Amino acid sequence: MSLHIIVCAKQIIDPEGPASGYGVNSDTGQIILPKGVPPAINPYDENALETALKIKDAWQARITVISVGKNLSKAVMGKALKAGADNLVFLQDKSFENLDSRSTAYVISEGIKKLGDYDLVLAGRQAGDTDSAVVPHYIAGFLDIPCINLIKKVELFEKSIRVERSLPDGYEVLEVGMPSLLSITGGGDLRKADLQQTGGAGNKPAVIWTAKDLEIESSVLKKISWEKIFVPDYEVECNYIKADSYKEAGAKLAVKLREDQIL
Amino acid sequence: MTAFSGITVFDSVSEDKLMSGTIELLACARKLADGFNEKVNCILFGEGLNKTLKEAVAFGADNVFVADDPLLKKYNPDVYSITLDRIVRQTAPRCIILGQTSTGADIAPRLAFKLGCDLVTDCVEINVNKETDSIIPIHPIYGGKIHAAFSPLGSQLVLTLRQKSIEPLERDDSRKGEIIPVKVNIDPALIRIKVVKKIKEETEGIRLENAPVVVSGGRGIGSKENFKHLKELAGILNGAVGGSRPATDNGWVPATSKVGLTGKIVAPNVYIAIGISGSSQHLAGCIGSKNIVAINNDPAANIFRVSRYGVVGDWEEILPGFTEKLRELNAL
Ligand SMILES: Cc1cc2nc3c(=O)[nH]c(=O)nc-3n(C[C@H](O)[C@H](O)[C@H](O)COP(=O)(O)OP(=O)(O)OC[C@H]3O[C@@H](n4cnc5c(N)ncnc54)[C@H](O)[C@@H]3O)c2cc1C
Ligand SMILES: Nc1ncnc2c1ncn2[C@@H]1O[C@H](COP(=O)(O)O)[C@@H](O)[C@H]1O
Repeated sequence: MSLHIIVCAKQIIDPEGPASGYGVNSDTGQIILPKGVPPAINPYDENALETALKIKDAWQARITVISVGKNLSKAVMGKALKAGADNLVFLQDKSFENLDSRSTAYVISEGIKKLGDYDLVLAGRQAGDTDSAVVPHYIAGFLDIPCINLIKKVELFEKSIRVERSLPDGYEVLEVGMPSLLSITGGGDLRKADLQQTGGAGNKPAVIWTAKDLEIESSVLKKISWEKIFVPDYEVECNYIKADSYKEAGAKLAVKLREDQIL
Repeated sequence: MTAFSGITVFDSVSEDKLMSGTIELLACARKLADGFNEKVNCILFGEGLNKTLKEAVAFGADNVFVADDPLLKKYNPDVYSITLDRIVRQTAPRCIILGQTSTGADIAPRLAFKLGCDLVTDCVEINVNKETDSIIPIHPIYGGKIHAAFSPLGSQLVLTLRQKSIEPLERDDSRKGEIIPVKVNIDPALIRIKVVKKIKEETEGIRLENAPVVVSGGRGIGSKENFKHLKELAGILNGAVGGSRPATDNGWVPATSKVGLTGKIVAPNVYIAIGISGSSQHLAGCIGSKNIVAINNDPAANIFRVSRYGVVGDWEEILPGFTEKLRELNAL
């Protein structure tokens, strides 16, 4: 049996970048993103790819990474090929920019249908820009396959999957058939580039499918629209505790917190 | 005029006890419903529900739809979403609010997809715009670095509310409300997901979400071993130990102790952040704390911008003096 695993990966601005630099353009009301913070693969999507690669370590499998956007970069998304994915598919079109969750999922599901047979779709738990955690459920909805979210471990059997789903007080074990969609919250960091892959699959081009290739009319797509955006302000004045030695500073902090009836 | 009316709250109940999150959802729904002069319907799933139903009324519900069935004792995505979809269609609310919990955040997209309506998850505030007769949810994006109020959405809406983002209402036992039982009836062929078992991984001591003091450590703590110093401090303060994502991902503290956007939301009296830089994603889980105290060796760390008290320096040198002095003060 050879499996076909599809991993949904989004290109976003590196979410680990500093908060400074994010702002709102008061004329247009649009977001100002910080300059100099590079694009990256959404971190949870890297976990999803790593989960797929672990399955590929144990089974015969082919991994296709699929991404929707307007300006997708081979330099950024190519990291997936270097780590061991077999194909990269860009669903790229002017009309695919800034789509809402439903439209994003619709485009991905059309891309997946065009790919043909598949056994498993993996996605990240949530994207670090939208922070919605919705697209995976909607993709599963459009494909009419079962969906389980918050997965930290996947175990594959011949015709079924056993997963561990994170809970606030532990985890639960679930079973589901194939094909299914799993959204991933753990499973380890993406492995480093495999040198052999870098020389091989890493140089493979990304397949690009436009709205026309997917036969998607732009009139069915909806963009995200905000009435108002703002930068939240949580700043308070910090009372810095200083002393001659660190040990004393610690003791002074304790005394201060007691005096102020905080502790 | 929309055909949809009223605000519906959904939650599950275990052991016949209303969760604090449900009470927050009711407070939010009450505020919205009063804005439109409409009703609050509360849908509760569970087994052996009795006391909770009157409680839901006391905390703001006008009607309580209760599905009380052994099938609903444990969360199953298929069983829950199919049953909820049916009840919601009967009541045709303009808005359905769930908690941003592992259950709520999983059902909300299933429900919105079935209903074909708009959805906004993880809202920190939900307001009524009377002029446009619409509901305006505010959802943080880019890890919380930006907050976004959505443009008027469709006439029916599914929302999830972040935990601890609204004050609950005072309990009022004189409030009147109707309790309406609903039957659960599911075609087994529609159940595609099987829940095998649940494994609890609770840490001993006070629960992180309820603790008045949280001692939290980040990447700067460096090892599992080092966390024992934080545990010791938490012990003295009757507090709980939390961690940032690197601390939980590295297994220094259990995954269930993660604080933040994709972890737990805490709002203790005192949140002591040690070796935590203060990323927006981490702050999402602790910014509601009354007092943040930071120990960090980087004077430029973002955590100091939201802290009332701070010590700049190596925690390994600062913490012993702090812990020792607190113990001494406690003994007085
Ligand atoms: C979608 C998404 C969701 C996320 N959800 C969460 C979440 O729920 N919770 C969360 O925490 N993170 C979350 N993150 C990760 C987040 O972006 C940050 O990477 C993380 O919070 C950083 O953790 P940290 O502060 O422990 O580590 P770092 O940012 O590495 O900070 C470590 C700090 O320790 C200090 N330090 C080092 N040594 C010492 C010492 N000896 N003494 C004193 N100080 C020292 C350093 O100066 C530094 O400030 C999420 C990210 C994404 C993209
Ligand atoms: N534009 C996109 N391209 C590929 N995958 C996406 C895209 N948007 C969302 N996803 C997938 O859906 C997950 C959740 O996204 P979201 O619902 O926006 O938080 C991400 O982690 C990705 O796996």
